[in-house]
Amino acid sequence: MKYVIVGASAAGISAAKKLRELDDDSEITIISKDTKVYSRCMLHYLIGGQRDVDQLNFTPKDFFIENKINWFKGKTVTSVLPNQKSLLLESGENINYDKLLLATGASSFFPPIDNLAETEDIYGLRNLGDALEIKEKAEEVQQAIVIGAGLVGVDAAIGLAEQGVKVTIVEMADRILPLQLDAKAASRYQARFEDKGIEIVTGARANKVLADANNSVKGLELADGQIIDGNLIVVATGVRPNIDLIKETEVKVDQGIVVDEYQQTNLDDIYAAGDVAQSKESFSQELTLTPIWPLAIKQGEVAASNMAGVTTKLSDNFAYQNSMRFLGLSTITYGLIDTDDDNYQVLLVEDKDNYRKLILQDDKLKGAIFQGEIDGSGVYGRLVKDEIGLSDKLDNLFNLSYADFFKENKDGVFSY
Amino acid sequence: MKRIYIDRQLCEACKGCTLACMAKSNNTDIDSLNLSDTTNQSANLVEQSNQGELSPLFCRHCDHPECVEACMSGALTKDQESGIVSLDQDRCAGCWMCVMSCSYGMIKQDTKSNVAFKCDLCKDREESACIENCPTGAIQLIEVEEGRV
Repeated sequence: MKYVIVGASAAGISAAKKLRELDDDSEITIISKDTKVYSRCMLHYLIGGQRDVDQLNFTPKDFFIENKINWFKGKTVTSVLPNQKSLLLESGENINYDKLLLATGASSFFPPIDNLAETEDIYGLRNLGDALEIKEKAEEVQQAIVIGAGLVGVDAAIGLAEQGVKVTIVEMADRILPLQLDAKAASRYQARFEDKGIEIVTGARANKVLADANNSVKGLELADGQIIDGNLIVVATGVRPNIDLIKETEVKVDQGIVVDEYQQTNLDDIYAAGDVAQSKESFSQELTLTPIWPLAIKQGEVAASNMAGVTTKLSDNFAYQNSMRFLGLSTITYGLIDTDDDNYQVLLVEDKDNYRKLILQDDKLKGAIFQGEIDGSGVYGRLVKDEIGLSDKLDNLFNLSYADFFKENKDGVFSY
Repeated sequence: MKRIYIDRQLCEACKGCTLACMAKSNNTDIDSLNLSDTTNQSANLVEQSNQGELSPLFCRHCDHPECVEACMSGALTKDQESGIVSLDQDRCAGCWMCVMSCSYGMIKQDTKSNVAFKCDLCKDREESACIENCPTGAIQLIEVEEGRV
């Protein structure tokens, strides 16, 4: 058997590891554009100078050698040829496979802002190369602009601020982290960012990139005419799955590569996992992208199991969960973060350092925010994920622990 | 692999396990533990349910550990031989995806720095400190078969 995996990030690496666990002898090949293994979630630590490239690696030392994995790094797969069960590489080489996993991830999306594509010193933050370029440029400039205040944009802003750069974040929504946080939780971060000297402009639409005579960025003009100065722009307005390599095939694509609960595409022997894959998400019950690290790992493992002939379903494809720590303040959220629907009941507690919010529908928890103290929040995550009935606990919902659900089998395994 | 089996009927919430873990985390013994130090931390918990049942709680070192799957820095690993899920604090980036992912609340923020903190089953000691210091036998180390869920 010859297994080929395209992509050497979370899903690809986890699949390779699982394949080797299940199959001692077969050939496992990873092909990746990346020449290093690194955690994208830590790229901002490189910009901020807290970690070097080696410290971004999430695999154990000698991972490829110990698991006998061939790694073709710095190689781009141009197209998948399902009929020949082969891949065509940019270099002209052909690689054959018996079972193929597409774990190609996603790329930064650059929105159609005037002059954005034509101007120098504009970066996404997705790859190691992006982070290295931003870091280098940050050493030369005094002011930077980040477009988009999602997790990547906020990470980028903090990394740049760590380097002593004055940063302005421009966000279309009425708050930062609009997909992850409600207004209250976001406002607690905004106050900290402003204390750190990071300026936040919300409700703002970027209109035009302003360039100097050398075609380098000098600022950003907003739709209301306001001009923000900066000599470096990080664009963090989302990502798009990397699907070019299957464009000429019959592999079914919607937002990403559509897979079933076995991570299989509509074609035999071709699987997909991680940020490139679109699958049925368990909280929303929608066929959607699921771009969070834990699911990339799980999906990679499930794909690998099925590739190796061990039939395995992905049981919990729960993407509505987030964790973050910015400027000393931590937050974990699950499910809904906000609702104006009368069918839900919203419970809040807050003090100077903490904010907690629970969203209930009848006796089920539909959403939770833990900001400040986050220990023990995983119990609430399970309640949301598994829609566990809480009818006998409704009078004390903020004080639940696993003691309230304790169930242990004779091997000491817990369950709910 | 080994796992701490909990007989919660026997627990009297003396918190001896908690103190023992705190002492071990501080590289000291219980008698020398400075009880007024608010950064003392223990990987185990003794919790009371809303119905009043006591539960001493310890990391399961799960067969399929969600915390390890969620770890984006490579700090959390499960040893294939011993089954122990351990945390390398030097690699940890404090992203809290492990805290988010553990359904039992058994991994938490370290009280002293921005990294996680969890049970390592006292792998460098002869006996787990918590078990050694439990006077009622509510916790005991049992041998379980690998791969059993």
